[in-house]
Amino acid sequence: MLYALSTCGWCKKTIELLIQLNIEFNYQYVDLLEEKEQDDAMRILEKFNPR
Amino acid sequence: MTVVYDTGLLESEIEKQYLKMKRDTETGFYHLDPDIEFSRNLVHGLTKNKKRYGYQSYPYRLTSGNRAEDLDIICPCDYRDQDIAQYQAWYCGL
Repeated sequence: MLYALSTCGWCKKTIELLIQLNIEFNYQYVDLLEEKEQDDAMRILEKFNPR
Repeated sequence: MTVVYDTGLLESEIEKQYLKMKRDTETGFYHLDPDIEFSRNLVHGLTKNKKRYGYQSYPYRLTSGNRAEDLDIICPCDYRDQDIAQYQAWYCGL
């Protein structure tokens, strides 16, 4: 799962690269999620990056 | 393949903001990234956030939607000078 922001140029480039490399992936634009879903996503992300 | 987003923003709005930002940064003796497509993408994100939240929050960070909480990441952000000192560029790449 790729957690991205719809406003982020680097996220966009990453998605384009993954598509170009034919890598199967899922992604979520965290900024477009409802508050509770955002909180859930952030909790998951904090496990990988506590900052 | 280019990923295209339906952002509700007109190209003319983004172009206008890009030119304004270019003029404003050069007044302050900074220069935007010479990769115009990259810079325009960043300006697009800033413009989208301005439309969404009412202020130009950093498009590479999750905005809370609370201006007081996001003060440090409203462009130009509080980390700009630190980033220049350490990396000779803004962290966002603009």
